[in-house]
Amino acid sequence: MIVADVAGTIALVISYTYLWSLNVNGGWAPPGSSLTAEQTNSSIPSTPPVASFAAEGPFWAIFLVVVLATALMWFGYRSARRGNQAGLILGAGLSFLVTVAALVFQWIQISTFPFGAGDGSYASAVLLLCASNIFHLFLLIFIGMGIFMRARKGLIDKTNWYQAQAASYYMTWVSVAFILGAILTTFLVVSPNTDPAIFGTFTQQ
Amino acid sequence: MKKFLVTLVTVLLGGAIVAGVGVFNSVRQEEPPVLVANVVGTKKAPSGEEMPHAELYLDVYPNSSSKVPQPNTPSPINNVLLAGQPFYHPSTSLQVPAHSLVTIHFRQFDGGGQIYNPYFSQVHGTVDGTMKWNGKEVTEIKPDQVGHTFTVHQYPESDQPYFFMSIPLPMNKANAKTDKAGYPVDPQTISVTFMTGEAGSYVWNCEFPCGDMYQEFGGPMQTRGWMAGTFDVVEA
Amino acid sequence: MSVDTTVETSSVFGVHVPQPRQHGAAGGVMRRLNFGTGLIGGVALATIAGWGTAILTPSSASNATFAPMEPTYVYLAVLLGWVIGFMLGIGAFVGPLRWVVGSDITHADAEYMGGKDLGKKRYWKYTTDHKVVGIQYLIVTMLLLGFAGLLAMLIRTELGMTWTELFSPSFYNSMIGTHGIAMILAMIVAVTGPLGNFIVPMMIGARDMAYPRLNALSLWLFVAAVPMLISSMFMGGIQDGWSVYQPLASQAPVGMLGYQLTIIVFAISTAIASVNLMTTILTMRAKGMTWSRTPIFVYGIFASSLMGLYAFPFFQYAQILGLSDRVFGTSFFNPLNGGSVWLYENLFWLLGHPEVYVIIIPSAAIALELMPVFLRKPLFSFNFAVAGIVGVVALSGFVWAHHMYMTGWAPAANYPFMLSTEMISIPVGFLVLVAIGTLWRGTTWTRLPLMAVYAVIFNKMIGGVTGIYLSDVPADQYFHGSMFVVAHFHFMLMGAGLFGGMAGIAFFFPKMTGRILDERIGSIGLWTSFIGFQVTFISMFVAGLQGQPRRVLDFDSQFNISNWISTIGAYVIGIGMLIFLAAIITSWRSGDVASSNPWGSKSLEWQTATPVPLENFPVLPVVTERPYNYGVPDPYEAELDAIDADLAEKVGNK
Repeated sequence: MIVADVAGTIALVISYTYLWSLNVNGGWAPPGSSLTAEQTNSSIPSTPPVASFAAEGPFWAIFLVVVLATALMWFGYRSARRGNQAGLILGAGLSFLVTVAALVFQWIQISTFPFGAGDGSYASAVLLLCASNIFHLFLLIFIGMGIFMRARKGLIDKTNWYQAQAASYYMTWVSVAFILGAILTTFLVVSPNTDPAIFGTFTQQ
Repeated sequence: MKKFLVTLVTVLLGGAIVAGVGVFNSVRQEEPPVLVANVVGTKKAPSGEEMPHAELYLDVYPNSSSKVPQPNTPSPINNVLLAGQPFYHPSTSLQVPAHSLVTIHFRQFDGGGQIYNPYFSQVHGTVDGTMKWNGKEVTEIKPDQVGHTFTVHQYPESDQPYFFMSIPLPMNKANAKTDKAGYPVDPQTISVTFMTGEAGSYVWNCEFPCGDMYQEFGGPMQTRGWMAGTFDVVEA
Repeated sequence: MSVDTTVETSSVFGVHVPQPRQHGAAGGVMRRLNFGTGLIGGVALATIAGWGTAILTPSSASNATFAPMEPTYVYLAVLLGWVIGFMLGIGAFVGPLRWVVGSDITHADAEYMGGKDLGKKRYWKYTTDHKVVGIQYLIVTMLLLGFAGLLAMLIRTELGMTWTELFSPSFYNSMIGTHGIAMILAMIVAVTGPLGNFIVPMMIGARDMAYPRLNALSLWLFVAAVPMLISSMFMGGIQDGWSVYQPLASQAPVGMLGYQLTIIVFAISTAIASVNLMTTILTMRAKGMTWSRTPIFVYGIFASSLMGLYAFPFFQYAQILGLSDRVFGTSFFNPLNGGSVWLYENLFWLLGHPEVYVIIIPSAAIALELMPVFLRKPLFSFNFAVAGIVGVVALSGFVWAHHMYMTGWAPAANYPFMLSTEMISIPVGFLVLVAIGTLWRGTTWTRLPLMAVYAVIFNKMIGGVTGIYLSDVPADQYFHGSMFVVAHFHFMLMGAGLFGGMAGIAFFFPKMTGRILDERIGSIGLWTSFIGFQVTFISMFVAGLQGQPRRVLDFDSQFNISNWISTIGAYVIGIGMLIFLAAIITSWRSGDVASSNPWGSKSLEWQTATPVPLENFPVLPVVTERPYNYGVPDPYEAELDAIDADLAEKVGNK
């Protein structure tokens, strides 16, 4: 399943980098706060406004929260392997709670972006990356809750640990998906294509 | 014997299902009833020859409502999906006589704006290259004042007689006087006369992006009964 | 916290085997759920979701190009409601919810879900037994093939003569798109679904799949996806071909949502099925079944699953992005706002071409699997066959852009992709050569399955050769978008894929149903279809060479004759397929009862009883030799040895 998830995430990465590199119609950057009413009415503003890209910090902050949740799950799994059932329960439980916190942070981030879904391809790509993050976090919450409940009931223990191991591996992959998003939104922001193809303008003869 | 019968029944049943679905969908084609141009007399062609003269009356509404006639289509789904979209009335399936002069009278109730290709703001294919707009003869209108167009195209068929005609239908201005339902009290009136040749089948559509979806060329623009239709020239 | 430590036993082939601890009570709501409750759940939630959305959406809501959004939101809500409600109603969420609260299903529940003692009811439930899932896949696939075949007949009727316009242009376009995608989906599962599920676990000597509940989940997600596809025909249809290129897809009526959600759900189903099959093959092969003793059909299913697993998410995400553009106003594919239609084409074809091999490789593997049985000799170069499959998998991810030569995307990339595409004919050629080599000097036992293999080899060669023309950039400049392309891919997908599926069904029918497929009626159906197939598509090659574009309702009358012939051929195919269907129906109901191994095959699935018991084998088998050791030692080899000895003696005498 991780292979399928990786392929899907790669599709998102391709989409982001492809649109970033092309900057079709000059539509990569979202319109900034300096956009005048006159510019709003023009499909290609004569004076490019200052674009409102998303702040980089929150992407890394959420990534670190997810890494923490992953580390806690690994701690729980390693504890189970050592026969430390309390450590497993603690690790899985804390991992679950930290994942919930990551979801809250992710939600706050997505609802405070300085752009909306219709504000160009950067906005589209970033919002879908965040939507993918939310999807992953929901999955982690489900898995984390399951591991915690099952650990409490003794269904995961020293002899039967493979579900905790699988959860740890999956969370590791999700951390990689988060860092991919953070790298993209930090290092590939302003499009390098300053002379993009322009569509949608027609000249009267 | 039993196996043979089952096989026969399977084949017949399969054939019947195909035929049934095919006939059903063929019959329920979402084509409006044909509007025939009636011959009302004769008229002199530019060459001096007296030719049969037929007339058609078409209205263009910006949307359907209880105040205007509904699109004349058998598709209830399209009535829901395309409510609020412009349409030609009373039909988009048109039939005109061959070897005749045909006059179409339009009443245009919709707004409009800039057309991308100014070629379609010009009159093409009428007997003298003109149209009568609110009683005045013109050969073109301003490209930023187009409401719709009525453009008849050739099918990609080598045997088809050549035919092409395109008429721009001017827009009603935003400050035009309207009734309570929002329709112009004095809609734009346009009359054009053109000459038909040999019998043939053609399609027509509007070239002004007045629909929805991408670039406003979707939805009603591609749907017969709204802003596209057929245009048959038939021997009398 | 309470832990149930009671040790229970369960009777397995008369032996009481201790069972793991049970953590929940047996029974519960899952035993009352079935296909009927799924339908009720789906329709109810779809109705509630649609109604609620209609109330909450202002009727004036529109998008940036003034299209009313209410139909979009309502239809989307209905589709989502249907899928969730159906899966809820059939019991798909019971297992995961019990897992998360730590109340696992008991052994008794597991046996119930496996269909034990449920009789025919098990086919209507969320049954986990791989054999039941295989039969369910077979039925659903046949229904989907029937639906898509019906559309094919209507399309050919329309194209029989130009200018007739039996159907409106919009409906015709909708039929083309729906036929295409329905056939693609049906063909993707046609072999891997029924035979991969039913046969593969037995073929490798396992009791079931690795994840039986995921097996049922993949099947019922597929079932949930199909009505969404059909519903789109009533919502304006899929009018942009099966590939639904952007920006046409954005322009299309709301029926496009049906396509997009179908693909999204189907991709989840495919990923789950692929993971399950691959895990089963990797971890559950019988003792002694090394890779060199693993049947070639298993390789084919593994390869197909692997390609589906890595490639399908690209298609899925292309549809997610398209749906997002449509519903949320993003601009992934809208050039006016920074999007790119080439992005869609790339994502689409990143699946689109591996998908061809997802369909063909299992069919080719079936052909190779059953040839040794009917020719009573080993597979000609097993290693080359494996190399062929591995080669196709390795190259499948590097050929996608050959569909985009004419789009203007990266012209410099055309020639590398031409090279990679032409290179893939080498491993495909391996498979054909192995088939021909196996035919060579075989003791032919011509039964229905082998006849179907002959058809596959013939069709695959024509499809393969014409594919090489199309992979060539200069030639493709002429052929692109023409009926030649349509004929080519029908030769591959139908000629090789579907006929391969027919071979598989004919071969495994005795094991799946306990009866022999009627050879006489089946053969008539097969050969009628084959003849009709050649008439239809060779004539279509001619139309393509003459320049007829595909997907066009009305065409120049110069193409009338070839289209007329194609339509007659299509009717013949239809009749042939119906005859084959009749053979399946009559044989399943009242055919000759099959022995456990009517073909005298050496592979494991034939060594167990028919009907196959719930856990497949009384004792798990141990494999001690290669799967195709028919006629070993080779009698010809003994003959040659005798000649050599005789010659040596004579030479020695001199």
